[in-house]
Amino acid sequence: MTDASPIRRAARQRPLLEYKHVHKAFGVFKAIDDISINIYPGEVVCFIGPSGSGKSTLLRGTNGLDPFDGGEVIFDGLVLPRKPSDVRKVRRRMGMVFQNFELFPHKTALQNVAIGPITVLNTAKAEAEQQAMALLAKVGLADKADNYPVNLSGGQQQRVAIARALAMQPEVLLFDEPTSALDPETIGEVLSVMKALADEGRTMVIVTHEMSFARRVADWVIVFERGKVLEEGPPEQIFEAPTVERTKEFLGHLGWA
Amino acid sequence: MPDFDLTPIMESWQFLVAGVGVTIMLSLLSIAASLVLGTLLGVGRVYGPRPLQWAITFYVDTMRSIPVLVVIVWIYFAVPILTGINFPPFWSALIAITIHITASVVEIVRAGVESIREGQCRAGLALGMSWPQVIINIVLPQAAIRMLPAIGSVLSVTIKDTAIASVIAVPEFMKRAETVAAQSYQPMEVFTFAIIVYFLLLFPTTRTVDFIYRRLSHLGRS
Repeated sequence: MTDASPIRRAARQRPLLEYKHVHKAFGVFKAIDDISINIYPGEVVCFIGPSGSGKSTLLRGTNGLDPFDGGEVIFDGLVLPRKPSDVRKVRRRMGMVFQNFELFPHKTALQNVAIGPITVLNTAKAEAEQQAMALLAKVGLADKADNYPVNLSGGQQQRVAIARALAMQPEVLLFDEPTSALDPETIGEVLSVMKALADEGRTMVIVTHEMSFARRVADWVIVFERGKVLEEGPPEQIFEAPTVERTKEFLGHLGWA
Repeated sequence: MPDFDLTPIMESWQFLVAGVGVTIMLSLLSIAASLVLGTLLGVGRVYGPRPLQWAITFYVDTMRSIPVLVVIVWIYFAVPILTGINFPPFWSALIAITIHITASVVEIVRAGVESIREGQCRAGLALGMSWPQVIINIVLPQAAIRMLPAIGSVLSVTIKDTAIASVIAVPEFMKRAETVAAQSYQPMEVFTFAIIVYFLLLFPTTRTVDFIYRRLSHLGRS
C-alpha cells in the first residue's frame, strides 16, 4: 500500500491524461468501445486484460500514432490535435517504449538515445550525447554505449529504448508490453529499470502481462475486456478482492486466486 | 590459332587510355545523377501524393520498355529537331543513360524503403520527428544498406551501358577501340583487349560493393 491511490485520486488535481469516450473499430470488431479513464500525475497505471481486449490499442492511440475513430484524448488540458504538425508537439512530451524495442539498427546505443533531442529539439550533438551517456548509465548500460543494437541482448535493447524515450524528458511514459518479446531471464532487468523510474515519481502507463510487477509497482490497475473497462482500482483491490466476476476468472487463468 | 599482334594497341595506348578516362567520367556522372534522382523519385514513389506516384510509376514503366540505345539516339538526333536544343554527344549520352538508369534506381529505392519495418517509423514518430526527419534519419540509411547489392549491379550495368554511347561518337573507350580496330584491320586483338579492360573496370567495382555490403549488412537489420 504505497500511497493509497484511491484517496489520492479522489482529492487530486486534474488528470495528466484523460480519455473521453474514445472508440476505435477494425472493421466490425470494436477494439475500443467507448472508454473514459483518467491518468493522474505521478501515477503508475497498469493496463491488464486478455489479448484483444483493447489495452494496447488504447495505449497506441494516446500519442496519435494510431488515432482513435472518435472521442478525445486530453493531455495536460490540451485536446490531442489531429493535424500532424500539431500532434508532434504533444507527442514529443510522451515517451513510448515498444514491445519489439524498435531501436535504430544503424545507430549505436548512444546515438539511439541522442537522436531524439538532436533532430527534434535541436540540441547540440555534444550536449545530446552527454545526456545520452548519463541516461545509459542510469539504465546500467554505460559500457555498451558504442555497441550497435545487433550486439545487445533483448533486455539490453529494451533498456536502451527506455533511455531513448527518457532523452526527450517526457511527462508521461507509455509502455506497450515492454517485456513480452524478452527471454524470461532478461525480463527482470527491464522491470527493475521500470521500477526505479516509478520510484522517481514518473507518470507511467504500462500495458503488461507481468501480474506480479503490476501488483508490486502499480498505483492503479485497469482491467480491460472486449474493448471496455471491466474494472479499475488500486492493485490490492484488483488482485486480492476483485469486485467483478470476470476479473476473478481472468486472474484465475493466470494463477492468481 | 592466329597470332596475337599487339602492335596496334601499343601504338594507340594513349588514345585508348584517354577513352577509358571518358568511360569512367561518363559512368561516374551517370551513376551519381541516377542515385540522386532515383532516391528522390523513389521516396516520392512511396510517400508522395497519389498523382506524383502515378507519374513516377509511368516514367519507370516507360523507361523499362525502351532500350537505352533508342533513348540515346532519340536524345541526340530527335531532341534537337523537336526543341532546337542541341546537346553535344557526351551530354546526350549522360542524359540518356541517367534517365534510363534512374528508373532502375527508383525501383530499388522503393523496394528498400518499403522493406523497412513500420515499427521503425513509428519509433521515430513517437520521438516527435516529422515524416521527412523519419525518412532521412531512419528509413533511408537502413534502406541504403539493404539496397547495396542491387546498387552494385546498377553500377556494373551503367558502366557497360556507356559503351552504347559509341553510336553517337562519344569518344569513350568502346568508340576508340572501334576506331583502332578499323584502322589497323586487327579487330580480334583490339576487341579482346576491350573485353579485358571492361572486365578490369567492372570486376573490382562489383567486388568492392559486395565487400562493403558484407561489412555493413548487420546495420540494416531491424
